[in-house]
Amino acid sequence: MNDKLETELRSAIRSQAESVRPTDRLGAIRARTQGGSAPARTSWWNRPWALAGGAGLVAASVVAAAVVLVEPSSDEPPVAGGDLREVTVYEVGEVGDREWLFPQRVSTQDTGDPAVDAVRALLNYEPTRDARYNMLAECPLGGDVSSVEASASRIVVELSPGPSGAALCDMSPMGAAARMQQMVWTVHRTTASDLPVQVTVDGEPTEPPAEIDPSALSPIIIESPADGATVSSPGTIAGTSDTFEANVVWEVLQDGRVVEDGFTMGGTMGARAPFEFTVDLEPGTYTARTYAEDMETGGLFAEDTVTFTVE
Amino acid sequence: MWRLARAIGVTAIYSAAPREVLQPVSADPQDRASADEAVEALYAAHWVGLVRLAALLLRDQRAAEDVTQDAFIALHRRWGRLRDPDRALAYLRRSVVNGCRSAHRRSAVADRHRPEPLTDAASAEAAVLAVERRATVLAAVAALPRRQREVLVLRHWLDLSEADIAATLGISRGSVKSHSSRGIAALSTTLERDA
Repeated sequence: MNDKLETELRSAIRSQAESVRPTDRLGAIRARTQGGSAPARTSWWNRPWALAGGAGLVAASVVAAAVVLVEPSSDEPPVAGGDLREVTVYEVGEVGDREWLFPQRVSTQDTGDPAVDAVRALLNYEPTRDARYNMLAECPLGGDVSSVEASASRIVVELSPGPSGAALCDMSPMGAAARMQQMVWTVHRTTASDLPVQVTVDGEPTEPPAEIDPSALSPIIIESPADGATVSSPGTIAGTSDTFEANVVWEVLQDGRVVEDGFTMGGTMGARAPFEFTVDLEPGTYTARTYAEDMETGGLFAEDTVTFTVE
Repeated sequence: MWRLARAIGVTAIYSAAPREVLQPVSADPQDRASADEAVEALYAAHWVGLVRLAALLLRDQRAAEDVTQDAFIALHRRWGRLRDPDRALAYLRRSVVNGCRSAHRRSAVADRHRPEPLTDAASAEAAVLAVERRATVLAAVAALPRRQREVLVLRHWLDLSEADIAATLGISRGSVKSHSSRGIAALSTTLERDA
């Protein structure tokens, strides 16, 4: 059946492409490439936050607040009765045309070093949901983590040399930035530090130390229930948010149909704050969706969803 | 202050330029001539195909031409380091895809300018149905998560191999496989529901 669909898809894509008749721009290209120096354009790599030591004052001034207020850091408690420990890792989620970081609680082997365990869990993390990604698994920076050490000025994450296949990955700057932010957020969460994070492979830095980007975190995050959880009804769906005018729109869907909806308020203007709403549902499986619109484009600004079962 | 911080992050995350630092070609007239020649040859062979690629991703022809034009200009500046038509084409593809991502973000044009299906007034009913079906398929593709859409478009329009798609998007081959199969599964669900 998928063969038929692929054929249909191919034919639709090709006919759509062929209906486009590009105009001639060779003259415009020549005008911009001949004589004199190349036209000055703002270069992304000069953006302060992407580089070591230059994470602009604006970002830096928000960092401490974001780490303390947004994500109260703690040593992750070991799970009772085994060699497992629960840690929080950060995955990249696609919302409309934006990408945000989302925290995920996962169980991992407890080796006695919470930071190493958290980084290892991140490197091996496989997103379970559609449109969620682990850039560190897609394009590894190296192999396994061997240590996470803090010095006075930075936290160094030491990795063993990676598989040779990693050379195939030529990250876009967007992907590379998102990948480092996954690492920085995960390390900060587990170490309760806000120092820049440096990744080294065999002692050699792979790129400059990265500061946290406080704006990378999804403006809306559902913290409870966890995705896939079984809950009783009535129950509360809770999370944290930081959106325009504190608005959080919510709906609960069953089989794609909205069964309850409303709106609630969380934080705004950089002050992330809790939101919650209570639902009363018959037994069954539901998806809770929370979102905020982009006031400029009317598109989707932020969104988080969880699927849960009511007993 | 919060707005500004967010704007900085967004700009850096969604930039169009590929990773390598672009440098002006050497002032040596021979180098410049070689860059001019190479860019013109690549233009002749790939301009139309790459604009169409961008148009599939952006659904806006003018924006598609702008993005592709920028990719050729960036290539010219970088020719001194590339000097290899195969690598140059890979570079152009990456530039175009990256450029589409940032253009898409900047303008949010896509949703406001969904192309109307081209209908011929004299078409027989069956032809109209076929055109409608095609528009439905394309709308379903447009609704896919970005990476799934990119993988399917690169496969079916440029006939790229898994390895070339991986290199173009900066992801692993395994991810290309999973985005592709997830995309097809999602299309299959959507199209069955709408059938």
